[in-house]
Amino acid sequence: MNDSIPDFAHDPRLTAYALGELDDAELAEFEALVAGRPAAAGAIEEIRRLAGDLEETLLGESIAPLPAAAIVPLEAGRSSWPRRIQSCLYVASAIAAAWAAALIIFRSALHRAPGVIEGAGLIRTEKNATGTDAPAPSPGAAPNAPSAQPPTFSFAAAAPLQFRFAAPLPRMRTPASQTVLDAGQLSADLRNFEVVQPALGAGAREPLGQDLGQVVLRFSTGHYRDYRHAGIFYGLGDLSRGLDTSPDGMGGFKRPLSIPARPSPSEMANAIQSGMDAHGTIPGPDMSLFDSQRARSAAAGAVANSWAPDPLRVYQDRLRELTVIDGTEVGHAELPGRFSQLFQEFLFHGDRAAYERMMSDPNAEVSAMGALCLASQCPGERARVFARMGSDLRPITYVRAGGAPQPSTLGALFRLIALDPDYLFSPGSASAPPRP
Amino acid sequence: MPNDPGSPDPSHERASFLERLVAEQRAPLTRYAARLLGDPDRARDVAQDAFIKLLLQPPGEIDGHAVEWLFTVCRHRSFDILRKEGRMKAWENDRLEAMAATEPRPGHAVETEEARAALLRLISALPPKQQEAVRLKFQNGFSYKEIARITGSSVSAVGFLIHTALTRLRREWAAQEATG
Repeated sequence: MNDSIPDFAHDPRLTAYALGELDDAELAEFEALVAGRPAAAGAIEEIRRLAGDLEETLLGESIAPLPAAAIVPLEAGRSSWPRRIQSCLYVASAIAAAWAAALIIFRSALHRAPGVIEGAGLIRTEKNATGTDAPAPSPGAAPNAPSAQPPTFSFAAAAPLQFRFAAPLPRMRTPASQTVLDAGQLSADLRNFEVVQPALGAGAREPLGQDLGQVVLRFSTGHYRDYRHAGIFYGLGDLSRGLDTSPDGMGGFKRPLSIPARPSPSEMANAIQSGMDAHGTIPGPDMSLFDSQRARSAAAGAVANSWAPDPLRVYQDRLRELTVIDGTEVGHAELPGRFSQLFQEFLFHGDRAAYERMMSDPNAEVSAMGALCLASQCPGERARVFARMGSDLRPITYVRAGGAPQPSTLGALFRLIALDPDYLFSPGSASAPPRP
Repeated sequence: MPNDPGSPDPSHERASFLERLVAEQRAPLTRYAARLLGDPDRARDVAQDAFIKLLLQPPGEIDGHAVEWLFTVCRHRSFDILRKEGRMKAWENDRLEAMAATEPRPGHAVETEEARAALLRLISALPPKQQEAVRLKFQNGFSYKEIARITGSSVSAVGFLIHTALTRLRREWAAQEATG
């Protein structure tokens, strides 16, 4: 019998045999062929040894490590001020852009005669030195000079919409140049900012169908370091509860928040703060809470993961203070099915009744808007908010690179605000936030 | 805490399964995508997308082959990205640039690490399709049949790819050992 290796060298069965990949029939045939050929046996042994080396080597292989600058020990997160400051600087332009857009929208509305938004009259006021509201100059008057105190907008409107910011917009650093609005910019109005409803493809269910499944608002930037900072795998938060580090160095660092059933703002603050204190990092949401209050915990996680100096303010003040979020991270909210339908009816169809029913859930709207809020401030290149509808996951909005949110994102926010200003902006809806 | 362990939760078993799957497969899946894309960040996105899609699957539909399913989804998604970026042709032609092997783990003997690094370099120099098959086999532990399903090819094609790859690796590995 010819014992030369070349007979086998080009036969894939040699490797398959060595790796135990031959089925019974092939195995018998090949074993008969190999029998009495020491060289073949040697080759098989060599392949098995190499296979062992390959397994050992490849199992120990890590993917490319994160850039050094992107890796911050989570334990050092809270005290890592230089990086936090860097992060804040990084997103500052995005926040400024978002607020500039917001300002333009509002001012646009204010300057239109006489500031009509969907039938509601608008009057802009500024807080004077005594803290009372004073009428703003007429639209034809000179633009306001920048003041030390941020402007307060009061929407003394006719029914049915009554807008009123209960407190000055905090942290709204309005440069002097922004007070001089370009006439062209003033042509924008709220109605230019529509929520982008995803086109429903084959297999997707109608958004207002009976069996919606869930709505998932998901935020993604691709800036993994941010998630690492935040200690959460965005989108996987509901799965990776309790996860710590993983061998490839991309492990999350998630700790459950201890949140009372119906937390007051101060309880919420304490919960997050104690989580931060206990673990030395900003905790991710404990998705085990989702059964009973998934939206609340998601909101907490989204907010907590925002790497915000004072993330609680968003929760406390129900998104009156959009600029408090300095982070770039994730807003992931998996909402109860009941809520999802209401949310979509509200968001896509402006159904105020749906929103009112939705509002009966004290948790859900916080989560939804938290996610949108975070998305609106994302400076990343690939920020997306997804709506999961039935079996499909589709983007509903997108934030382009450079930090300027596309109108749809702000539109979603503003539509939320416009449809229920009483809730969002009424003075009694939440305790006044602490001042920075 | 609001989570009531006493209350029956029909989704608990599935949640546990998914949680376990994520814990076990996230890193391998990401690694796989990273090799296809050459971009760890994107790979993480792709892996996440795969898990999200898994969540959308009706329970029972992927039972028994969830891991394989994840890799298949991950592969398709990665190729979508490669296509969008015009890099798919390079993949199809087996001309995708070799992705640099990453540094070996610290804490091992230098010699062992050098050997591993050398082997990783050889693997990285394989044509993409061979490299993918080798990784799925030895890194992810899939059988030929599973690899065939993931890659959409035949079992014999997978066998040929792995055989060819191992033949080359054996030759080059032996040459390195002889010179080293």
